[in-house]
This record gives sequence, C-alpha cells and structure tokens, in this order.
Amino acid sequence: MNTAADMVARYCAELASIAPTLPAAEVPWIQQTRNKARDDFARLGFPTRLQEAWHYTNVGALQRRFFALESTDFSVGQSTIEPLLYPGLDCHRLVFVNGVHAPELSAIGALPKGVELENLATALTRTPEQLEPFLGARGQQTEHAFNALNTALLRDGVCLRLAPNTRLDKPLHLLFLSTGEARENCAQPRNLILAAAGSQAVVLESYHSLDEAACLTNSCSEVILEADAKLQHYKLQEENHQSYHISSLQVQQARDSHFESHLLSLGATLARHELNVDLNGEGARCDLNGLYLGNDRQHVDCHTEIRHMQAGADSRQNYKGILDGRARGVFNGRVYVHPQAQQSNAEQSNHNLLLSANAEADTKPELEIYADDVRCSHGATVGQLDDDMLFYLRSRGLPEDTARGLLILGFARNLLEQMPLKTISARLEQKLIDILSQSHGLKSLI
Amino acid sequence: MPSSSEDLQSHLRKDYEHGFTTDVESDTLPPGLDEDVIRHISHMKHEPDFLLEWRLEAYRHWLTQREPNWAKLNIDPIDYQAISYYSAPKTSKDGPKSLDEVDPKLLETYEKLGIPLEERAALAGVAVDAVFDSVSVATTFKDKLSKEGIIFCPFSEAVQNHPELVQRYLGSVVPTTDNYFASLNSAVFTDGSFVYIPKGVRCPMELSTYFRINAANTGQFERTLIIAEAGSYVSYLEGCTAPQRDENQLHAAVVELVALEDAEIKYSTVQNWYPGDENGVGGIYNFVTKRGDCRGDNSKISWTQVETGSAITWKYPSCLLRGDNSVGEFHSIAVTNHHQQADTGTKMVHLGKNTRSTIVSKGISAGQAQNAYRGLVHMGKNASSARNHTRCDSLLMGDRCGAHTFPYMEVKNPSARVEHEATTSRIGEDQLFYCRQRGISEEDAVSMIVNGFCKEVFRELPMEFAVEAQNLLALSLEGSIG
Repeated sequence: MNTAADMVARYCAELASIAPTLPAAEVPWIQQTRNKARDDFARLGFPTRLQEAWHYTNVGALQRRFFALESTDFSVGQSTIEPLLYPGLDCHRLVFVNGVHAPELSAIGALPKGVELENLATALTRTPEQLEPFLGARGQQTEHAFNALNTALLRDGVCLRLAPNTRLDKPLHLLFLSTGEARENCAQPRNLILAAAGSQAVVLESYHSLDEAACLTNSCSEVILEADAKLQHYKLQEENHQSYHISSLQVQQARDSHFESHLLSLGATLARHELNVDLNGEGARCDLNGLYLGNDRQHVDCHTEIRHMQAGADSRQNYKGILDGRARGVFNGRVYVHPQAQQSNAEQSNHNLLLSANAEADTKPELEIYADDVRCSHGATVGQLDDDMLFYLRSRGLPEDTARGLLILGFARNLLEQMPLKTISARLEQKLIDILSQSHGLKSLI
Repeated sequence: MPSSSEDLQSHLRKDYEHGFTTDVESDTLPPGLDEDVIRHISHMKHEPDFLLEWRLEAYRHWLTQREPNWAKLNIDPIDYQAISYYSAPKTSKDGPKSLDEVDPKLLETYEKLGIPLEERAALAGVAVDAVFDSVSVATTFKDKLSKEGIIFCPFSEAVQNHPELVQRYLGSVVPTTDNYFASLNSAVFTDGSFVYIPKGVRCPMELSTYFRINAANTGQFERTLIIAEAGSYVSYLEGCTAPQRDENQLHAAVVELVALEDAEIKYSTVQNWYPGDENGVGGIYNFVTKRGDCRGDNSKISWTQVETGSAITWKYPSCLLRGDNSVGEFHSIAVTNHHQQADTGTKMVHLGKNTRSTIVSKGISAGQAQNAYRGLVHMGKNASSARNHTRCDSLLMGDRCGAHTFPYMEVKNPSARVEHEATTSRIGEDQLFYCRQRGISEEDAVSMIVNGFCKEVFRELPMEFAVEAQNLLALSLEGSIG
C-alpha cells in the first residue's frame, strides 16, 4: 500500500526521467516551466477533502494507483475511430491517443488563410518563442495540483491560432482516446486556443476509452479570446466507468468577445470538469451549459468560476444533473464581481434530478460581489420527478418506466436545444436516449 | 448621486449612541486562562463536580483545536491569555431578591439605554433576566412563571437548583467538542439564561434577556439553555447594546435549544453590539454558536435575528430536524456598515421524515462592509419527503462594500426537495424615481424600500422587538443611497 506522498514522489521521478525525451526539451523556458510545475506538484501533492475546492470530491482512489506517463506506440486503426465520428459533420480532425497526437488518424485538411492548426508538440518545436507568453511559468496557476502535473509534462495537445478577423471554416473535432492494453495509462492533453480580434471558431472535444482499462485523463486547456472573438466549445466525456477524468479549462475574454460552452458528461468513475472564465472587457459574454449524468458509483463534479473583472460583462450558467444508482453529482459555481465591474449581469442555475434512493446531489452556487450596480442571481434545486407529471402521463396509458424516461429526457433536452450546431446536438440527444432506454422503455416512442 | 452622498457620509459618520461605561466595582480575575482559572470560576460559582469536570474536558479539547479560518472574515489575532475570564458586579452576599435591592447604578445603565426594567416589565409583560457582564442581577416575574412550573433563571442558579436538568441537557445539542469557540465557551462560561417549560405549558409571556458587555477587557461567555417539554411553547427574546471602547472584545456565546414532541421554540435576537468606529477600530467580535434540536416529532424551532452591530459576526443559528414532521425556520436581517464584517447564515440538518425548513436571509451592506450568507441544507438518507426553501437577498449600498452568498446543499434522499434562490442588487433607480415623483423625499424613499426589503423578517419578530429593530435599521442606514 502506497501512501499519497510516495505516489507523488513516483510521478515526479518518472517526470524527471522522461524529461529529456519530451518535445522541445532543450528550450530553456520550457525546461524551466516543466521543472517549476514538477516542484509545485511535489509541494502540493494530491488535493484532499480539507481543501474547500475539493470538499465534495475525494481523489483517494485515484491517487492510490499509478498511471504511466511515458508514451508507447499504440496501434489504433481507422476503423476503431469510425463509430466515434459525427456523420454529416464536415470538420477538421485531430486525434490523440493517450494524450499524444496520432497523425495517421487525424485529418486536418485545408485551412483558411490566417488559421494555424497543429498539435502542440509540433508548435513547441517549431515556434517555441510564440508560445512562451501563454505556456511560460509566469501565467501558470500554481496552486492547482492537477494543473501542475499537466504542466510538468507539457507534451502534446492541440494548438489553434486564429489571426484577426479570420474564421475557422469548419468545426474542429478533437478526439481524445484512452487505451490501456497491459497497463493503466495517463493522458495529459494540453490545449491552447488563441483567437485574435474578430476571429471565430467552433471546437468539439470528445473523450473516449477504447477498452476497459482504467486510465487517467488530466486535461488542461487555455482559451484566449481577444476583442470580438467568438468561440463555441462542445465537450463530450464518455470514458469507461473505471477511468478518471480531471479537466480544467481557463478562458480569458477581452471586450465584446463571446464564449459559449456545452458540456455533456456521461462516463468515468470520477469526472471533474473545471471551467474558469475571466471576463476582462466590457461587453464580454459567456454562456455555460452543462449536463451531467451519473449512475452506479459514478462521481461527477462540475466546478465553475466566473470572474467579472471589468464593467458591463454578462455571464450565464445553466447546469443540470441526472443522478441514478449510487451516483453523486456535485456542482460548485462561483461568480466573482470585482469592485470595478459595475453593470455586471450574472445568472447561475443548477437543477438536479435524483432518481434513486442512494444517489446524492451536492450543490454550492456562490456569489462574491464587490460592486453595487449589478444584477446577480442564482438558483438551485434538487428533487425527484414530479408525481403529478408522472400521473398525467400514466393516465394517458404510458407504462411507468416510459413515462419516467420521457420526463427525464424533457429535463435534459432544453440544454441540448441550446446547442447551435444541430449535427452535434442530434447526436448527443441520441446518446442520451440510448442511455435512458437501457433503464426505461423509451425505444418504442422515439 | 453627489447630493445624497453627503447625506450618506454625515449619517454614516454618526457616533454610536449607546456608548458609555458605568463605573461599577468588578470582582475580576486577572487575565489569562489555564485549568486553575477554570477551577476558580467553578469554585466561585459553587458548582457541582460534574460541571467542573465537563469544563475541564472542554478546555483540554480546546487546546487541541485551531481557530476556524474558513469564513470570509479578516480577524485580527486574538490573544486568549489577555482576556479576563471572570468578572462579577459586587453585590451583597445573598444577591438581590427584588428590584429594590439591585445596585442603583446598574438600573441607571438600563435607563440610559431606554429599557427601565420595572417599566418594561409592567407595561410589556416581559420578564427580564438582565445579564450585566457575567452575572445576572435582576430577575422579574419569576413568581408568575413559577406558578406555571416554568423555570426562567440565570444559568448559575439553575446549576444550584436544578442540577439534574442541567446535567441532562447541557452540551447535548452543542457538544464541548463542537468547534473552537464552543469549546472555549464550555470551559469558561460564567452565566447566561436557563429556561425550562414543562409538558403542555404555553409560556404566558415573552421571555427576554438583555445582555450588556461592561467591564473593559472582559470577554463574555454566556450559556443559554432552553428546554421545551412535549407540547409546550415559548418565545424568547434576546437583545443587546454595548458601551463604546477601542479594544476588540470577544463574545463567544453558546445557545442550546431542545424541543421535544410537539413543542415549539421561537428565538428572536436583536443584536447591536458596538460595531467599531468608522475606521474599523474597536468593536465586538461576535462568535456565537446557536443550535436548536427538534428532538421530538412535530416540534418546531424558529430563529429570527436582526444583526446590526458587532465588528465581526460569525454566527450560524442551526436546526437539527430529528423528529418526524419537525419544522425549522431561519429569518435573518444582517446589516453591515463602515468596516463591519458579517459571515452569518444557518444550517438545516434534515434527519427525520417530512421535515420542513424555510430560510429567509436579507443582507444589507453599506460603506466598506462585507456581508456573507453561508448556509447548509443537508437532507439525510432517511429524510423522505423533506422540504427546504431558501431565499437570500442582498442589497448593496455604496460601491466599496461586498455581498456574498455561499450556500451548501447536500441531498441524499430522492424524495427530498431543496430549492435555493438568491439575488444581489442595489436600490433600483426606477424604484427611487417612482417614490420621488410621488413627492417622497429621497431619504424616506430609501428607508421605505429597505423596510420593504426586510418586511418578511420583521413580520416574524414579536411586536416590541419589531419596533426596536426597525429603529435600529433606520439608524444604521438612514441616508445611505447606493
């Protein structure tokens, strides 16, 4: 039995030993960044429940096993990824296997002028100096253990750069695949999206397991939106029920930029989605939608923090949880309004549906407000399906489980309806129906 | 609004009206805390052995604890060894039997505060058990209450006369190990109030205690215990004002309520401890642990509080809803001005079936004050069909203050229903404009809007208190326009 400290030391030792093989290992600032992050990770260790941000999420099970960091060749054929693609979605595609770019599976295609799309390892080797302001030690969050672990590796991921007033013509589909074969692996994708003034893009991230091995995904993404830039971001997480998924997405928004996020979390035994948005300019706006499903012993934790740093920005959050079996859903949303951020509008809502006697929902919507001319509100509910609605459907002759399935779908659907890209929302809705059909008789109706 | 900001400044600069110190000779222990001090307190109060043991146990546990630092508060370090843990006004050996025997200087103090005991007692029908520093000096209406079998007396008297009740219930709601300040209180508390309502009795009058901090450098550690036997009802009022001084004073009280089957306890507080001056110097640290235990089925506990004072408030009156169908309520107005800080809220722990709770919290923040609501709603596994509704609204007046909301909701039962809503805003220009165009002065309009904002809570207060509370609110905020 290893103690947590032994495990941290083991990660650090492995990080140190593979350091020379990592991309751009000879570039001094990259070396420094990795070393500093490794020291931070060694100092911080894994978070415990005594830390407020991890109060409802215990990573004890995760830290008792070791997930291998070094990459080995995995042969994944084109046929394996075929079912994971979105029929009818014309897109640029990048595929990562255990966090490392797989060029033979990717299809970047022709890019519009002014758009640079490549994997991070290539970008780090090709133009390290351009990435320093974003990945350098200065800008890193140092008090976050998983971010530190990710930065200590800083290996691969996607790097998307949009020149002013350019538009990525087709959605970008990022496919993150985990595979274990003989051992438990760790995928640590590092993504960077830089959208210059007036540019636009649509990005879809999807996370899948190719086998039943327990893997750890620790992803870390940064998005920087300059004035008037727009990003639509979709994330689908459906890894197997043995895996661990930890992710953090940091967004910096300038004046009049718009960030839209849609999350659907279905898989993993422990899934944690962190989304931090800084609204740094007037007229900046973010819309965050999230739907999380939990069953069996799954644990899903959605953590958002929106910081209104300048006047006149808007934020809207809508998260919904559907919890069955012995699942536990956690929502922790925080809105911070800086003293300068007058005329801020912030809305936050979290609704949870508990479907079984052993499911649990913990929700903590926080407001921290230092400016007076603001309109901030939040609402949260936890409950079960409405008896009256069930009765109404039953009285129309629907069997109970179909009626329940229909109501659950109705609860979830309004989030899917807000996705502007119908090819994606239709596919996700189908996934939801498939899941609900397993426990409820929906097939006959839809 | 530049015109109103002058008003604002002038009103916010207002001196604390109740600031004065009565010169009474105190029998005070030297500052410091160790087991001997606790033995000394216990000995001075002629306490039975079980209580001394209980205190020492609490003290030993306290030594192992650390000060809580999770609240959104900025607290200057407290030197617990610089506090004197016992101070008693000098009175004749047997203590006063009636008002006539009470030290006239004390009565004068109450008069300056506008609460002449006898008058209040006679007019309002309120029995006042006045706590002057740590020892109760006057208790009225005892006869009338004792006819009903009600015990309403200073805590130390209850220890002498009803040790079996004290032993049975003391610490049964807030154990000595509960938290840092509760442990400290358990070790060194000197006095407080004790209420026992026998089975089926409806207390014929509102019970009231006025707390007042007096001797300099004396921390106040009250202990209140209210026991409502099956089918009984009691409404208890607690209110306080404190004299002005520069040194921060620690006030760490513990209040325990026990409601047995079908019993109801209504606990109302108007808190106006000295909040410190406009620069944030001085003021009371109000670190209070209040908890009610709905032990029996169909019992009910409701907390109502109007908090306008204290430099720092750290207070979470809670309800443990253990009995089936029991009800918990929390109604709160917290006003902070200048450099005041408040981190207050409630905990509703639903354990029994069909338990219900309502939380209404109104926070008003002005000047450079920080006001936080922090609340927990916990639905246990067996709390089937339990309900909670929480509403917390914050009003910001001025651009340098802060209002925060930290609700925690934990639901382990699918049939339980939890709802939470919160808003933060300032007084709307449209609301003000509407009042102004009807010929209402700006100041009256603000007061009207603020009163409307708080109405839901004022409604819960007993009549006499509602008047005092509204005055307090007006005094704290008059002229503040955001």
